[in-house]
Amino acid sequence: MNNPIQIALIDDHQMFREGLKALLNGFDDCQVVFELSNGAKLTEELATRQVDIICMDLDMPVMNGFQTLEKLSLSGIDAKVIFISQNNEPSMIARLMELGARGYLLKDSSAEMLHSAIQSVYQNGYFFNDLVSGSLLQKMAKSSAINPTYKNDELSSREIEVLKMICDELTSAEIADKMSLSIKTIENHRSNLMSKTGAKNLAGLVVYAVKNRLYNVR
Amino acid sequence: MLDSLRELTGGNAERMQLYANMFLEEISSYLPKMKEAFTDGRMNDLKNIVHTCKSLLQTMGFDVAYKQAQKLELMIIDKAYADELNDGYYLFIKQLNDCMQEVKDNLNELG
Repeated sequence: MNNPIQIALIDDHQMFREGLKALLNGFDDCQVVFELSNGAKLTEELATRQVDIICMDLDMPVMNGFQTLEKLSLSGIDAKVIFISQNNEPSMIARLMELGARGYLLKDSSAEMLHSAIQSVYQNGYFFNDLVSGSLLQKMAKSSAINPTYKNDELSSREIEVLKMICDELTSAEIADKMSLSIKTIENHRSNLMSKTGAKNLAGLVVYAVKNRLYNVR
Repeated sequence: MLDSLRELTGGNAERMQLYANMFLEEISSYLPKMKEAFTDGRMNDLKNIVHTCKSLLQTMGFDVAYKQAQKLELMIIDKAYADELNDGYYLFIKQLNDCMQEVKDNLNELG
């Protein structure tokens, strides 16, 4: 790969950062550009050094993951944040995804899973694993707060087909290939889906699809 | 608490409300889980939930409860004496309830 995926690490445990950095730099397509012990200086760093992915802990002194995510959003920075935490509370994971996180991993995840999460977020914008999907579904099952905002018949059959494939974690290129359409057309369908459902991100789309029984979790 | 929320959200009332509701919902769901873990002596489970609460407390600017969460987490890790753990746990629960009440009291102002 010509340009490795540029990564920032944010975690208050230096030993964990060092280990993670060594691990990520060991992958041909990854490069850790900088590391911080909390989110307080992240926006300043991002002003001078661009990154593709931010791998961040949730619980940190000074500025935690929530606060950092919000600060990035307020600053208008569209950062792709993957949380790496020891926190396995489904409700917390679902919250973070709703607030704009792109993926969530536990600290004891395998190197392979971390690598595929980074690749998936870099290429597709999101990484859904069993932990994230399960958390979102649990939240939906418990909550009545997520109500459909439109009728299913407002979605075309093509859009529903695309939506189902998004839920199956297919990339735009893979969907285009399956449907014999161009990637640009698929991107248009994806954009229409977001607009029609009112979803802010792919997590919202998946939630919508399950909630409206357009997609069944196997 | 309101100052922290304002700082966090840049004063956006909708986001402030979102975080306040999130705090109430999350902490309410953790309280029975903590009680169950504490009663059953599942200290590792208790530690995990306390750890989870920390980020929420910090986000809402509840510094005293945040520090108590840190203290309780360390007590569990260090396998503190039962009496000390007992006191630490009940103090933390009281603080969580106080924090929730403060959020509820301020919800009208946020709305």
